[in-house]
Amino acid sequence: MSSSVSIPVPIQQIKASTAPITLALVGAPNCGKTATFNVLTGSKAKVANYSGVTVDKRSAALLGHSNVNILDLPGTYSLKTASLDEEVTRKVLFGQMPGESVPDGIIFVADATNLRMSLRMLLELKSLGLPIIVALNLSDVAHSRGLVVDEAILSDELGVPFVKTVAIKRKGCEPLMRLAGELIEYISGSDKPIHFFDSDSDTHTMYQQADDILSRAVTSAQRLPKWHERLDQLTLHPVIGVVILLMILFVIFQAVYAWAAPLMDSIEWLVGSVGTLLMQWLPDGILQSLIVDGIVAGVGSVVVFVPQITLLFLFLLILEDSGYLPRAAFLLDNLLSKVGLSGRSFIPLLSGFACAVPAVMSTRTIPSHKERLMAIAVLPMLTCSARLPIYALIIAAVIPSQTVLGIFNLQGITLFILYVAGTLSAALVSWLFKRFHSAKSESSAFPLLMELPTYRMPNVKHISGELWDKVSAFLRKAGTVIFTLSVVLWVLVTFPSAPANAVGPAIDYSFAGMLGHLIEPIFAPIGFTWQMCISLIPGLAAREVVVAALGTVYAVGGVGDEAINQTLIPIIHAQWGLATAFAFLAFYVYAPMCLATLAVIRRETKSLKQTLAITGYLFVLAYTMAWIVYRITGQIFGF
Amino acid sequence: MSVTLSPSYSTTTDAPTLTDTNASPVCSLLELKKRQPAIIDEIVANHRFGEIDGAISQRLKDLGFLPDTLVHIVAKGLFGKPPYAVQLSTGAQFSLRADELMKIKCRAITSA
Repeated sequence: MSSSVSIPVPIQQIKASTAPITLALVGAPNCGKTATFNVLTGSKAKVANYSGVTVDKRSAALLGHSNVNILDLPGTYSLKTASLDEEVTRKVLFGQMPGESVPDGIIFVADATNLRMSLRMLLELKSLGLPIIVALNLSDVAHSRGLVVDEAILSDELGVPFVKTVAIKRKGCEPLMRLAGELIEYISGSDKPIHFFDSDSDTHTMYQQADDILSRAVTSAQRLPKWHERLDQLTLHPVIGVVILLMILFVIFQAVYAWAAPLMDSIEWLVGSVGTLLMQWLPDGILQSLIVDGIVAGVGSVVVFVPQITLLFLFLLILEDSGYLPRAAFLLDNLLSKVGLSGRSFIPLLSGFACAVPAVMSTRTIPSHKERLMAIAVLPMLTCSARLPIYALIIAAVIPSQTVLGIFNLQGITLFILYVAGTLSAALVSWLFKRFHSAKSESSAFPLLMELPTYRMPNVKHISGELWDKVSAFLRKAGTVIFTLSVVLWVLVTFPSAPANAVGPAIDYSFAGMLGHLIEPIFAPIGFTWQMCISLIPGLAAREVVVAALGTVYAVGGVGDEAINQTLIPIIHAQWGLATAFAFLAFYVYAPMCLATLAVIRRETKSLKQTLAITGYLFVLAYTMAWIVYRITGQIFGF
Repeated sequence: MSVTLSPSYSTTTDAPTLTDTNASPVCSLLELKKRQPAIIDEIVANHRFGEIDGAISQRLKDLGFLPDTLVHIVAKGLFGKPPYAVQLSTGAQFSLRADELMKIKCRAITSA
């Protein structure tokens, strides 16, 4: 505020127009709230933490208004909440969340395809006494189903401005942006409103009110289209539905394994060429070794897997966006309850096949504490995308590429077995937990109560945005963490160099060599060589790093000129026995070799004891299974 | 009088009157066949849920399972076992287990 202002303006108004304003984005799950958030803020969500709760706080500035913060609250069906996520929304709106003041206004994202419930929610929100504007989202879907509703009448009746929005379309939110601007002016210009809380608003009464209003605002009701009902008859059918689900899972598996192959080969060729080029270009010596054996071998071994990981994420995103996943959860509820979980855990478990870290976080939507803990405890066993490089490398190195029964590839079958092993182990452990626990505590029933949202076309813009985020995060990880670890590891395997009268390979005398030989006795019973032992350590940062580490260790340790710059596969093929390779695979099916997962488990369970227990049982399982596999394979095929 | 399943906002004119459903006794949604239209009578307690029963009743009501609402089962599990996919007259669909269905008391609507 400048002291040379010539136009007399009330001081309060000047302060108010630049004072920070928080607008809460509220809505039911599946109503397009996230898409709306992305449009309002340009998808620049900052993720922070609410104090004392492990729910993410997503917020970002409204486009064009740097002082306005949009807070994306977790989706909820009502202010009478059922799970941890929903609790947070309620607490923030009531001003009961420590560290957060009551929002200045609410942007309510209503689902036009379920107007009745949306109006009921709005009536509930009105009792908070905060200024509200309503984005009637999915209005294109509702319109295509025959809904004709006059939002002006809705605005009149409810005393709250309504605009129709189509959050996934570029122009679909312009009215909302304008309305948001008006809301901000309103909030800036007025005193803080008095909040009153209408405690016992009867749900039945609210619905009757909603029905009443809709009878005036809606001139033509919507109908679920025929194709929707017919599709659901198939996908929800106890037999056909399961077949469809299995087919979908099979297609994803095939795509990730087989379709990515040509692209992976190209990248591998590229990495190889870069290595060769640099070798010719750089003078022999330490620098050449660092760059070729450390960085290129290290980072290159991991970057090769970008196509596979991209395809995996792509399929999962399409499934999620389409609204199909709750149908799969419906089909699997029975099976999952038998092992102590439920349909609600299906989506977190499925995302565990991509990465356990967000999967563990998404278990927050599971209302039952017991079930949530069990889901978290078995999630690390599901074959995450980071294990793919390890599996693929070793399978390519030790399993011959034969065709079995005319159509199945032996390598593909092995990969499939590994996936199944992880899944079945998770089911078995969960079942054991259930047997053990129900002996102790009473088991009162728990509801399923999941919404089956309408099918929708997966949104290309949203999916490509998310995919880009995930792939660039992966590449960034490769560029930073893996790069750094590769360099560090290279240093450890190169220095100190072998003394003049050295007998064995130079690498034996390095720090890494010494450390590896030190740990080797622990892993000798399961057949691990010291090079594998030393690679396990950086593998804790991210599982893919094991491949990078093996790349560096073997590249530097190569004896003679031909050995340098050989890719890993021939090396492993030559140096690892079958039993060792299988034991390594078995170890990685179970071992919690990922600090990020352990860290998020600690965060979500809020209990060091439980985290250590989970880590412990997984390591015991990993070592035991590796030992069993090593001995059996050794007996059959020789060590 | 046959009843269409399109959402009816004017519950006084389009909904079936009591005389149509008088003959049907109150039963839980669990006992109905697939696609059998029914009208909800009330949400009752189910002690299998223990302390959270009240919260579940509330959540069912919040989702729209209220008296005088049309509902029908869309899908059942293998051999008619749980879970069940249930559709309200508004088109909203939910997956529910047997215990939740037992809380929803309704009357079957028979077309005359």
